[in-house]
Amino acid sequence: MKNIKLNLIRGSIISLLMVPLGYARLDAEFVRKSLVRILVTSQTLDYHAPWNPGRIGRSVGSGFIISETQILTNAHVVSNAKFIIVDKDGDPKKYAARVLHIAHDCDLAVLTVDDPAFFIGTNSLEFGPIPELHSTVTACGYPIGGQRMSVTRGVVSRVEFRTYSHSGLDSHLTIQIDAAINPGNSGGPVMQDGKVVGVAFQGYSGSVAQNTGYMIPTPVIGRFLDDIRDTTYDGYVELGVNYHNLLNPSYRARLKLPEGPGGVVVTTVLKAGSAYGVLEPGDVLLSIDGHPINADGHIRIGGKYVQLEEVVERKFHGDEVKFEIIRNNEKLERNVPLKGAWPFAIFARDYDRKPEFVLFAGLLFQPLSHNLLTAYKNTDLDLNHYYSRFVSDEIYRDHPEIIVLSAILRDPVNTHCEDLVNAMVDEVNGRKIKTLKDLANAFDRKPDRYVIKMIGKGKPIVLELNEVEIAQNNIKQRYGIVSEQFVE
Amino acid sequence: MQLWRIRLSTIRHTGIRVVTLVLGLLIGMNSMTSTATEANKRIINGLVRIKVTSQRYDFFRPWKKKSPESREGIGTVISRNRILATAALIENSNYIELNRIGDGEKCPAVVEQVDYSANLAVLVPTDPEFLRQTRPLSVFSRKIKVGDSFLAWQFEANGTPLIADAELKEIEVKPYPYDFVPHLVFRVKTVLSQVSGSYTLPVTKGNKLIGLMMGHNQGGQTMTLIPPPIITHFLNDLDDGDYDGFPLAGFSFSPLENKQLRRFLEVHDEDGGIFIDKVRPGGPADNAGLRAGDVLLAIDQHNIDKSGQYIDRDYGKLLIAHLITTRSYEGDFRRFRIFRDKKETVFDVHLNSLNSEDYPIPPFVIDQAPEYMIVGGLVLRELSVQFLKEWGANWRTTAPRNFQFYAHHQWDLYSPERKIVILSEVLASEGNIGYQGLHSLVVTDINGKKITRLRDIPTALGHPMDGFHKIEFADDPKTIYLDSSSLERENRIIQKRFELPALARFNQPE
Repeated sequence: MKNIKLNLIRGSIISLLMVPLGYARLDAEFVRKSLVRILVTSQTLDYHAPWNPGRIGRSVGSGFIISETQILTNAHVVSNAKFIIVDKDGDPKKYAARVLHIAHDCDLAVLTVDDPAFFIGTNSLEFGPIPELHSTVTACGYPIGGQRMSVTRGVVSRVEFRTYSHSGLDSHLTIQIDAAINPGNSGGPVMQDGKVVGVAFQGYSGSVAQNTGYMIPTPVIGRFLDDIRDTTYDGYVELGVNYHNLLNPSYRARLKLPEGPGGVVVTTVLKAGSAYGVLEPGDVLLSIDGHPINADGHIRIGGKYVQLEEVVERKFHGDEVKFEIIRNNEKLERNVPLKGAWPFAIFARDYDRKPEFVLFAGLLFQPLSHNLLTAYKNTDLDLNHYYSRFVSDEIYRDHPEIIVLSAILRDPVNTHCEDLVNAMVDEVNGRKIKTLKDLANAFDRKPDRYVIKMIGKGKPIVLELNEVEIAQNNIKQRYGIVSEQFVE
Repeated sequence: MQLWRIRLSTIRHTGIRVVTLVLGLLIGMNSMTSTATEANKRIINGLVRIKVTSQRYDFFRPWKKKSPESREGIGTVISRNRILATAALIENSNYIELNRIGDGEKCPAVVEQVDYSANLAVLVPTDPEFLRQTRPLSVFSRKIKVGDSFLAWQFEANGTPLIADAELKEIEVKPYPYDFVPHLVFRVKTVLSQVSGSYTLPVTKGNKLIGLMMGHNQGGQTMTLIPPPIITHFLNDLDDGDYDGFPLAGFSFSPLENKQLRRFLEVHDEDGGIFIDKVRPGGPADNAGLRAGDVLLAIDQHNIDKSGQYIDRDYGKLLIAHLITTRSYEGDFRRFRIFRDKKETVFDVHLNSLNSEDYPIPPFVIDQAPEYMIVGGLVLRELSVQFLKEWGANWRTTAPRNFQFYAHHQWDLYSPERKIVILSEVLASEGNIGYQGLHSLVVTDINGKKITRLRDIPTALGHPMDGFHKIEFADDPKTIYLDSSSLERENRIIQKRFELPALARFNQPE
């Protein structure tokens, strides 16, 4: 925190004067010594031909040094990366980097560079608090592929819960700023008073909204860094509770709730979540870890109103969260031990993992996932129904993986099966198929014929072993299949 | 005729030679009309213009109608002083006016019978003398084959006929627009003129009616026709007294072409046959004893091939839907030859029609106001595909997917006697603060009583629990409460605020 670097002020003295000086101060040289440009060669997953290695792409992002050996960036900067290079402003040398930890659910990753020379002469940045509304922040990075550090300034416009588009599923605290954030800014630090108050990570493309950029605030970053302290990233815990507001006077009167503004009512307790067996539908949640809950589900933390989920957000596997509840007109306390909930993962975009599949007699079977649906732009009514109800209707109990006949590589062995594309496998020769592994095992057995029944369909698929054996090689050659299955 | 059509299409593509061609065309027309008049007068005499003012109900706001629309088409005079048109022309009509082509005389008409499933309607002029100078056309009853040529009839506003040649390209069985039940369709190649009032067009062969245009694709220069068997079935059914509609058997099937599946089922390859996927509970096939998994080999003497076609005496290979819906009448018995557990059995299936209102989730609701009930601002009604279609042409992607799933699987999910009551939206008021974002929810219970139709609601509301109405949904928020003592006052306020004509509408007396 020395003097304001001239790059920043030049040409905008008037606007600078209008901003309280303390907020605008940025030691650009200090940040420059921490800022890293990340060049990534990635390979995207190919769900249409999962035996293929996937398309190669190149991208550029930003990151910054947070310790003697670590660089923080966004997960999406280094997702599906096959090779990562980092460099610094003013240093022509390129260094190979690798991912130490990656958290797709909060779009953060930590990289390291094995060559110790890289970190010589660099600074580690420190983290600050959640910035105040309308205070000024400065985003640093390498937007639109430039080789020199770029600095843009804006004010904090909003602090709210928002979906992180990298996973498409998880919502965390997000800070909206009106600084220009462009592709390439991703992973760069957003500074205030010489400290990092966020990591720039997403914006709007096209004409949806202008001058809105989003950054990951320090509570989310802090949680990630705490989580990886034990060398593994466990991810977020899932309460698994749906609740409804208690703003309605009739509803409150019916529940004989005491006077006062607070409380929400539990509508569903998902079997897959942490609260199952502890909370029940109809419970009124009055407070969470001592924070009184408003009738619309908000609580006050550190002077800011946030959704009650924020308390759970900041916790780790094995932690507990304490609720004060009303059940049957009785005030009770309940502690919920927190854990993750794997069934929710079906809704998240998947990265870095090769798509699983089984190809048998030209029939391509893949587990239902967000990636599969989007790759095939699938609008099938039944498939989307099972997908959207996977957790709420506990479909995962019978089908931990929903195996879809996603495509057919045509061959005499599989003629007239087209009407069953998009159907979901129920059983093979009378055995329930719960996972792709079950299916692979069923095909490994050698009965005279395979009878594959699909969920909700009358007509089965029948494959005779001798026909399959004739077909397998032909299909492999004709379609250039390098491997017939990948099952983890 | 043939000559000028070619020239007409030449004009479209070549700008420069237009003048000379138009001259030639005019000369040609003079000579042609004199000969054409004699040959076609007979047909023109059997046609009448129909002008319809219609108004759809707003299925989002079921208490109101949308703005009026006008449609025009050409109706065909048929026996007994009646006029045949498509149902699409007269749907939701407020007023129908007939317009004589020769002299422009006008007369109101009323609908005698409409079958939306077959997309056909019969109209009657209110003045019995109105059609006296016209001569009814009869429906073509001889054999028709692909390649036959027809005439399609359009008229200019001044009554000048625009006659287009049409050639039959394809005879197929495909879903009709209203309830998606497959019926026979003729696909015809033709070039139509851009004149207004082409909602229904008659197509003729000789001096007989061969079909009514159902749809037209200007780009592809094809149109689809409702062919003679459908028209004849409709009229025969009507003329024998009570109108029953096209019968169904109540099952769905898949082709049985895969050899390995056939060997597994031990169905002989030369036997043909189709795989019965689903049997509608309480439907004709179910009542006769058919089951999912049966293989249907034949209906009466008609063998069914592996793709579900039989040999029709007039049209050759057709999907068996034609045999069931159009070659049969309500109440007919058809003998189904079934292969089950490696043995052949026969079942006599008593065919029955199914009206839209007999579905748990009706495919269409037309010519009648949607029923609804507003309770403390909650807009409650029965789910129908008509409601889903309110989302527009792309309703299959934009309408609530849970409702689409329920509609698609309705026979698996629901007993035939019930309806699905839904909350479509909440009209905001003081009493429903906290509920105002709710929509697209299935109502399961009110005050502990199962809700299986809209009519269950008034009764259920008669029994509040401890001074509250408890309303339960299939999905979150599962349960909400309304104060029963203030409900009437709330209802009055909402009615006044949103200018609702009524808080509920039930079409038939309870």
